[in-house]
This record gives sequence, structure tokens and C-alpha cells, in this order.
Amino acid sequence: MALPQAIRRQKLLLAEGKDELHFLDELLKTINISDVQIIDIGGKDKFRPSFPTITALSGFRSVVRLGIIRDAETEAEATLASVRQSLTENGLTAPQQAGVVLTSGVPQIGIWIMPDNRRAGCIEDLCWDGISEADPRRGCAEMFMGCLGESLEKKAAPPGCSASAYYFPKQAAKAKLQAYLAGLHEPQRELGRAAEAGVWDLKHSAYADLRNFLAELFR
Amino acid sequence: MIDALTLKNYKTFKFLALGQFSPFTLLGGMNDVGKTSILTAIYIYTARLQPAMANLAAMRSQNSPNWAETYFHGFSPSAEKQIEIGVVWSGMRGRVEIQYDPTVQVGALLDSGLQNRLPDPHPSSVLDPGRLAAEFGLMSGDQNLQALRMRWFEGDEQKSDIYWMLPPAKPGMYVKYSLPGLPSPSALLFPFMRELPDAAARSLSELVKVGAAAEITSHIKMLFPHIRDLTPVLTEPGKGTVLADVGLPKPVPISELGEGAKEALNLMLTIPRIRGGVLLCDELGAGIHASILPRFVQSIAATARKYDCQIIATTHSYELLSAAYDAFAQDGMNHEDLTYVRLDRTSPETVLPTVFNYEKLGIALSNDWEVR
Repeated sequence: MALPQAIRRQKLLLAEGKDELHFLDELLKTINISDVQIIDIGGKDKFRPSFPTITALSGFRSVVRLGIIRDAETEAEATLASVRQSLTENGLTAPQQAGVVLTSGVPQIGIWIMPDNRRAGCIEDLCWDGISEADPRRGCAEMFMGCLGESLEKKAAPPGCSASAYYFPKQAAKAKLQAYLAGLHEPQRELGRAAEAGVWDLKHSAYADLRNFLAELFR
Repeated sequence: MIDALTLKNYKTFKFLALGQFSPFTLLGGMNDVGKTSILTAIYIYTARLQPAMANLAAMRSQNSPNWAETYFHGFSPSAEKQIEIGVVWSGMRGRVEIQYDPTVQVGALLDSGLQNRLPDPHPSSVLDPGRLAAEFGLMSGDQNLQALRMRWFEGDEQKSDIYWMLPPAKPGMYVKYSLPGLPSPSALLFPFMRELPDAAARSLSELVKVGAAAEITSHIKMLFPHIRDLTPVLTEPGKGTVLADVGLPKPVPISELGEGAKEALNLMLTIPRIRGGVLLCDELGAGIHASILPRFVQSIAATARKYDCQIIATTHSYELLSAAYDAFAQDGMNHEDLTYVRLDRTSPETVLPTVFNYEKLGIALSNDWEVR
């Protein structure tokens, strides 16, 4: 029987879900950092309610570096404010800005709001940015999205509407990346597993700021 | 109900403050962090005149040649050190102070008005020096004895002054005076040492008399369907056993039941006996199969609520925590009644509590996060 997950390392990175966990694990490898424990918080809506429990887990008192990675969704500033509030509500000092490591106090804390601490969006946008312009599947995925845009209603589906109803994808960035993944010679269904399979060029300049942030936080 | 506890210099704790007890409080943490010590501290506070406390004390002090180091944090024979166990009980503050006194003289004790001795079931009135010396196992009333002097306070009013005699004297409790007014009935149960047929028989017999046995029996039957009925048998005042009908030609005494059934039965029969008090249980659920743990917790919690009895129990079991959460998720259970406190030793001098309420515990369990 597997033991429950405990905080066993002094460097902790909180990710929104399993995709982010696998992606970040691979990204850390590219900068030769292997002593960070990544915990999947279980979804974007789970961060606020789960964070007090994370701080109560065995081992949290030993954490000296804490990273928090969230998707901006509709507004990066609002997501940052929400994370900062969670930190202060639990007795931790919150960095004023995303992408900046707070070096005073213990633990040292850094917040990254996907894709780049400024834009609305999510990790899929960052991965999209990292796809080479020369990759023909990129254009195919864009054409597919264009086709969907012409064929489907571009408004929010009414409540209770069937999942198969003819409405444009709620999360266009995710849909576009899924279309790209579907076009791989060996298709991948998940962004995180795709990272493990080497689909994303994690040394691409699109990831440079995030790599630098993680290196500053965890080195 | 105990709302809060502070410990100073007690056993492994230089200082500890716990402030969020609920009607059903579970204590967790690594081995030797002090979970059981919290139970014994509460027991010392609540059981000032219960012979069982003297027995516990005697047992513990005899087990260790360095008893003082065991009981007093950072003990040194040359330095005065006082243990303080502070309790807030339903809003009322009380405390017991314990000091080591290596120079107690029998004669001086007698002159000061020593009256009763526990665990003698029939406390003597005033003891003569010769008898007192004999009681202590000593030849002379002038000989120095080692004792722990224990004084109970409610607010600032002293309620009791008791000497807890230590080896080489016969361990025991000698009461200088004791006034009524402090809470409250309690029981301290250790795992696999809960086979108390006499007490179980007395308790079940009392419940039968007042028509309250059926509910307890139904809980037991629900947990252990092979048990069809329970009957108390008192052989003489205070003595007896409980017989269980398990479908055999003859009922069997509870001592013949499995550990899980004995565990459940003992807890269930102890709770009514200490109505309005606190049940202190080391390793709750030991011996209970995981599949019935939620029902077990629910039965214990429901019985405790009926008898206004608080449960404070230690555990190392993730399954028990999960079962407790599931039990308190059921209709009719109050989420606020469940608290889990994990103790972490952060330095040789410091133990810090982390409190999980129902919601926090649920989040941890649903993510399979370690909380023990």
C-alpha cells in the first residue's frame, strides 16, 4: 500500500494539476535542478481551499523555498492577488510581484502566473509559444481552430447545455494545443506526458523567463 | 469539556499550549512526541482522587529508576522544578502544580493533618505515626521520604493538597485535604490493557437498571453481527463479567472475545460511567478492522454525545483519521465536533501543535496527503 504523500524536501513547488507537475518536473531537469518536490494541488479551483492544509502537512515547517505556479486564466493580476492573499492568510510573506523571488524570510517564496506573469491565459499558451514557427502542425492546429470558429457559435453555451452542442471551445488555448498534440506521429493526449516524451523544446526562448525564475528560486 | 490545555515542565514538554479541543479530538504525531503524555496529564488533572491515578503513577515511577527525569522536563535534583498542568474546562480555568519534595517526614505529614490514603477503598481517618510508617514501609516516622506534592487549583482557590509517595516508600497517594468542586469523571485507557470485566459488568448492569443498555448493545451488534446479546453477571459487589451470546450453546465471557470487540465494548461501557467527563484513549481503534472503523467511530461519537462525554484519543492510523472524517460526514453528526491535532517536535525543547478541523482534514485525506 502506497504511503500518503508527505512533504519530504525543503524546496517545494505547488502546481495546479498533474499536467503542470510533469511539465515543471521536465523543465527543472533542463536547468539541472533535481531536489525540488512538486505537489499537484488538484485543480485551479482547489488552490485557495487547499493551501491552508498544505501549510499544515508534515514537513511544511522545514520548507525553505516555496514556489507557486498558477494559470492567469482571465487576468494575471487577479490571480496574483488571490495567491498573495492565501499566503498572508496563512502567516507567510507574499511577494509583491509575480516572477520575483522574495528572498527575505523563511521560506523564500516566488509566484509565477502562467503564461508570462502579464497576459491572461494558461500553461497551454506558454507551450504554444514554445512551438517552432517552422513546425507545420502549428499551422494545421491554427487552421483547425479557424474552422471551428467559422462553424460554431462563439458565445458561452447556456447552462445545462449538452457537451456535444455546437459551441466554440470554452478554452481555446487548450483546444488548440490538443489539436497540435493529436497531430504528432505518436499522439499525446496530455501536456505533461508530452513534456516527458520530449515533445516540447524546453530550451526554447519562450521558456527562458520561467527557467530563470525557477533557477533563482531553487538554486 | 476540556477547551484548552497548557503544560509546563511535564515529561517531554518544557511548554505546550493546546487550544482547540473539540468533543472528539484525535492526537497524532511521531513516536515519543508526547501524545500519550497529554492524555496522562489530563488524567492527573481530572482524576485527583481516583485510585487509578495513584496506580498509574506508581506503575510509571517504578518502571523507571530515573522517575524524576521522566516526569520533570529538564529535572535536576539541585534545582526546584515545578510541573504545571493547566486546563480550561467549559470556560473555567484550573491547574495542578506538582513539586518534587525529597525530604518529606512521616511525622511532619501527620502533624499537618494527613487524613486519607488512596487507593485504600476505605480511607482511614487520622493515622498514628507507627501505622503511617508501616504504611510507607519504613521503620521510622522521622525518615525522609521522596514525594511529589500535588496541589489543585480552581481559579486561584486551592482545592487539594496531596502527596504522591515514591519508592523506596510504598507508592501511594496521601491526601492532606481535598475540597469538592473540580471536574470531573475521566478514564484513561491503554491499548490491549482494556480488559476490565468487573467494570464492564458494573457499567452494563447499571445501564440495564435504567433501561439504557439496549442502545449500547445495538451498537455492538451492528459492529460485530456475531454478537447477539450481552448480559452482565455480578458475582459479588463490584465483581463480575459480561457474557456475550455469540450463537454457541453457552454464552462466552467478554474476555474470550477478539481484541476489536473488547475494545469497542470497553469504550462503549466506559462512556456512560464517566457521564459529563472525558475519555482518554491511547491508540483508539487498535484491533478494529478497517472496514468497520467508520461505524466504530460513529458509534463511539454518538454514545459520547449522548452521555456528554468528551473523547481525546491518540492515533498513528491514517485509516482511523479517514474513518473519523467519514463518520462525521454522516447525517446527524456535527463537523465542528471533530478535531485532529498533530504534534511536531521542532527542537529538543519545542513541540508545536498543528490543528486540522474537519474541512482541513478532509482536504488532506482526499488528496492522500500525509497528516500524521
